[in-house]
Amino acid sequence: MTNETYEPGATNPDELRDELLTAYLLHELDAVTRARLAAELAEDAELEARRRELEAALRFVESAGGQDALSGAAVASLLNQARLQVGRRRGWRSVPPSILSAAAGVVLLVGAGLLAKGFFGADSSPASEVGSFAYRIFGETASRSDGYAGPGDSVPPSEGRKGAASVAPSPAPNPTASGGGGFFLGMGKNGSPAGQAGLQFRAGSEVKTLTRGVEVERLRTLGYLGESASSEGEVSPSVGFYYEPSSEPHEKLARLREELSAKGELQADDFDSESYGRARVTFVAESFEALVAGYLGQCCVLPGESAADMFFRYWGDHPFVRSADDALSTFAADADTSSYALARNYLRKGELPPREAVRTEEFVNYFTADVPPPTNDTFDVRFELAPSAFHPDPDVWMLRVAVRGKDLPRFERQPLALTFVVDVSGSMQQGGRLDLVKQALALLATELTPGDSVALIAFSTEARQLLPMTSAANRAALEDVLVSLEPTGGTNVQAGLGAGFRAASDGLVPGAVNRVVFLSDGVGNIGATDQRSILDEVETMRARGIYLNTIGVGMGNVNDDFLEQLADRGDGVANYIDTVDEAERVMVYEFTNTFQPIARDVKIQLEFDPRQVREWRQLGYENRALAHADFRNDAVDAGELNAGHQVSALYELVRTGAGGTAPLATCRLRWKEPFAVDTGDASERATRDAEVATERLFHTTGEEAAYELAGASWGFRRSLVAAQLAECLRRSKHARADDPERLKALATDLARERPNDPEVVELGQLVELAVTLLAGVTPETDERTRVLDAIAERRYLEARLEQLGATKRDPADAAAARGEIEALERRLREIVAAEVGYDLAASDDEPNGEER
Amino acid sequence: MVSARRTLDSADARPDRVLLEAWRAGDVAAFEALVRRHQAPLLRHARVLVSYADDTEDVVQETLMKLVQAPPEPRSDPGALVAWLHRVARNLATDKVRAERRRKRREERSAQDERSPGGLDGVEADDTRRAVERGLARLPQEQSEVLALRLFGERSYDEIAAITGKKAGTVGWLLSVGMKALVVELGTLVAGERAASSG
Repeated sequence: MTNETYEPGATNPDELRDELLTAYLLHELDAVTRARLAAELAEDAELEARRRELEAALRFVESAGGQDALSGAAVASLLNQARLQVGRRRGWRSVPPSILSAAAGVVLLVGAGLLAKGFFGADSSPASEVGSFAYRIFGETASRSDGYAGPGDSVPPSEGRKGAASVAPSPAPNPTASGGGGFFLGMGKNGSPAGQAGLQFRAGSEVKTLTRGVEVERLRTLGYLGESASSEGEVSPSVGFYYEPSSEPHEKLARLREELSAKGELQADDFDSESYGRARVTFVAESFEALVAGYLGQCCVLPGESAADMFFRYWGDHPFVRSADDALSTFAADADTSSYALARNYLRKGELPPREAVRTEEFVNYFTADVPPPTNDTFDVRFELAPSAFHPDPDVWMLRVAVRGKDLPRFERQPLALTFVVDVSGSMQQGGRLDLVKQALALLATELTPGDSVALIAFSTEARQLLPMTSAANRAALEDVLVSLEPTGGTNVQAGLGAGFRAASDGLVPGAVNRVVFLSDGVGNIGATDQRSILDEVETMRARGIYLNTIGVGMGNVNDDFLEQLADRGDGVANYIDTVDEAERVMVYEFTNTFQPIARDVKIQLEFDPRQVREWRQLGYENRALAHADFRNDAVDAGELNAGHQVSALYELVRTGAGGTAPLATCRLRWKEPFAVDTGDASERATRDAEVATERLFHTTGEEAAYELAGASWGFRRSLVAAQLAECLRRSKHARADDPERLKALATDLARERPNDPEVVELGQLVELAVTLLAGVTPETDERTRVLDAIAERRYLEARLEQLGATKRDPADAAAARGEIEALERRLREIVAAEVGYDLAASDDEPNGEER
Repeated sequence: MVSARRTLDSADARPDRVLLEAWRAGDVAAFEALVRRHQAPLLRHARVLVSYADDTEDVVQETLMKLVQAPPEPRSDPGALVAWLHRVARNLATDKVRAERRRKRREERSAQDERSPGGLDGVEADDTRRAVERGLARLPQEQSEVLALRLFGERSYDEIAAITGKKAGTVGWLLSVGMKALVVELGTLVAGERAASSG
C-alpha cells in the first residue's frame, strides 16, 4: 500500500473499475481511494460480485505459482563462479607484483578447488576452505631453510616409498643457480583470459600476458590439470603453469614470507615444514597424474568425434582426407583480405600476429587477380597443378583452383550511392587515423562520376548527418564536409550505423548500388548485446538492398572480428587500411571491386577422382567450410564476390600415379545474382529472380600440370608463397617441418621476376620478417610437444582406420600401433616428470602418493 | 491472502542491501542468500519473457552471473536490487528472444512449422501451473510480464514500474486487463476455482 494517491492508467470506465478492484485486492491503493472503494463495494452488489470474481481468479493464478528454483547444478555453478571471483579479487590484488617476481621458484596455487582439496588431504584445517579460492604460496623447492626435505636430504627412494614420491626438482648441483621449478595453477578457460584481475594465458603455447605478477618469461603453460565443479558444461579448468627456476637467492623467499605474514595473508601452516612436505608430496603426485592425463586427454578422439574432427580440434587445420572416404570439398567463397593487412601491420612492428587472426585464404586472395577474366560469363575457373614445393615425395602435388569474376569496366558500372559512416571518436586522433580517412575519402571522391551520389555521417558519442545523399557532381560539398571532421568523444557505433542506414534508405537511389561504408578504428565501447542488435539491423538493411562495407583504420591490436561480421552480414567486404597506399589500393584501384557485386552466395565444391587422388587437404577456408548437402541448398548463406575478384583455393594432393582421361578434379560453382534495387514491381521481380541460383561445372584432367614448380605460372607461385606464409604464421601442423629458407627463396624469385610489382616486393619483405620472428619464438617443437603430436597423430590415424571398418585391420599392425602409442606415452611421462621435477621411479608403485 | 509468499526467503533474513554489501566484500554466503531469495521471482519473470524452460534458467543464471561479476552499488532504496535484477533479466531475455526469433525464421524456411493444437482442452485440470503458464504465453507480453512480476514475484506496482519503465498506474491497468484476458484464456478452470471458493 502506498501513501501517494493511486493514479490509474485505464481510461475507459469498465477497465477503470477492474483496475481499481485489482489494485484494491493487491493492496496497492492509497488509503483514501481504498476507503472510498470499500464504501462503494458495501453498497454495490454488482461491484462486490466482480470483486469476488477477480479475487478467485487472482487466487487461482497465484496457486499455480508453487516454489520455483534453479537446478542444483545451476546454483552450484553460480556459487563456484562467485568463489572464483572472490579468489581473483583477493588473491591477485593483494599480492604485489614485486613480491611475486621476487620469489624464486615459488610454487603458487591459485584457485583450483579440486587441487586445493587434494593438497590438504585429510587434514581440513580452516585454511583448506580458504585454500580453494585464495592463493597459496609455498616454499622454494630447493630451499632448506623451511625444513623441507630438499633434494639433498630427500629420503632415498628404496626407503622412502612409504613416504611417497620424492618431490624434489631435478637435482641441481647448485640450487642457487638453477633450483627446481614449481607448479603454478590458474583457473580459467583454456585459451582464454583467466580472469580480468589476474593473469592471462594460452594453454599449449607460450604464456603471452600476465597482467600482474610473475615474470612472464619464466612461465610455461603445462595444460589442464583437471576441472573443478563442472555443471552444465560450465567448467572451470585448472591450468597448470610451470614456473622456471631462477637464480634469485633464496633469501628473497624468506622475505616474501615475512611480507605476507606481516600483511596477515599468510596462513600459519603455509610454510610449516611437516604438513608442507606431506601435502606437497600428495599434491605433486596427484597433479602429476592429472597433468599427464590432461595432456593425453587432448590428443585423443573424444566421444562422438570423428577422426577428422579430432584433427581439426587438435591442430586447427584441415586434415588430409582420403578421397575414398570423402571426395568432396565444399566451402563458401570469401573475398575478405583483412587478415593479410592486419598481419602485415604486426610484422612491421616486429611482432607476430595472433595465430587465430591468420586466415590462409585471405592471404591468398589479397593479391590482384592473375588469371584472365571470363569472356562471356560471370565466372571462370582455372586449375593449375604443380609438384609440391615443400615435400620431396613425387606424389605430393599442389592444386590451385582460381575462381575469377568478370571485370566491369568503369563506364559499365552501375551508379553508386555511398553513405560513409565515419568514426570521429577521440581515438581516431591517434596515429593520424582520421587524417587517413579524410585522405581516403578525398581519393575516392576523385573516382566518382556525376551519376553517383554520396552521403556522410560522422559519429562519436552521437551521430550527425553532415551530408545527406548528394549527387557526386557536387564533389565540393563532400570535400567541405571532410575538412570539418574533428575527433572528439566516445564511440557510439550503434548510433553511427543507425544514422548511416537511415541516410542510406532515405536517399535510396533506385538502380544504383546502395552501400553504407563504415570506417572506424575498432569497436570500442559496445557490449555483446548491442552487437547482436546491430547485426540484426545490418541484415534487415541488406534485405532492403543496402550493403555494408567496413574499413578498419589503423587498428594496432584490434579484434577485427566484429567489423568482419558486420561486412559479412551486410554482404560487403571488410578491409583494413593503415597507410595512404593501402587506402588508395582499397578505395581507388579496387574501387570497382569493393563496390560492384557480381554475385552472392557463391559456393564452391570440388570433387576428386579417388583413382587419381589418394588424399587431399585444403589450405585455409577453415571457417568457411559448408556441409556437402548445403551446396545446393540455396537457403544457406555463402560468400559474396565483386567485379574483378579472384578467389583461389589451394589443395595439397597425394596422387596415385594413375593417369587417365577422366577428370582428376571437378569444380562446381554455384551463385546467385546480386540484389538489384529498383522501385515497384520491377524490384519484386528482381528479388525473385535473384533467388534463382546458377551452377557451372569445370574440370581438370591434370594433363596440363607443370612438372617442375619453376614451370608453374607466376601467379600460382605467388598464391603458394602467400599461403605458405600464412600457414607458417598459423603454425599449421602441415607446415611445421617445412624449410623456411625454401619459402624465402620462392618469395625472392617472385620479386626478382617482377621487381616493379609493389605487392609482391612487399610479400617478400613480410616473408623475411616472419621467418626471422618465427625463428626467435621458442620452438613449439620441444620434445613434449613432439611426443604429444606423435601420439595425437598415431591416434588420429588409428581412428581413421577404425572408421574404415575394423575387419580390414591386420591385428599385428593394430598391436604394433598400440605398442607404439604406449611407448610414446611412457616417454611423455618421463618428459613431464623431468619438467616438473617429479621422481617417476619413486612413485611407480603408488602413483597417487600417500593415503589417497 | 494474496501476498502470502514473501516468506519463501531462505533462512538469511538480512535485507538485500546488507547482503549485497557483504557479497561485495567477498562473502559468498551472502551471495548464496541472494540467489536463494531472488531465484524464484526471477524465474517467474523470465518465463513470460522467453519461451523455453532451458532459456528461462539460462536467463536467470546469467542475471545472477552479472551479480557475481559486476554487482551494483548498494542503494538505500530497499527495492533497488530487486529492480536491478529484474531489469538485467529483462534485457538478457530480450536478447535471447531476438536470437531465437532469428534462428526460428531460418528453420521455418526449411521445415514447415508444426503447430501444437491451441486451446486448453487437452490440459489436465490438476495441471494448473502449466495451464496458467500457457495462458500467460498467449497474452501480450507487457501484460504477462506485469502479471508474473506481481503474482509470482510479489513485486509492488512501484517496483514493477521501476523494472519495466512504466508508470505505476499503467502497471495497474495492464495487470487488470491482463488478468481479465487470462481468465478468458483459462476459462472453465477458473470457474471451477470460483465455485470451490465460494462454496
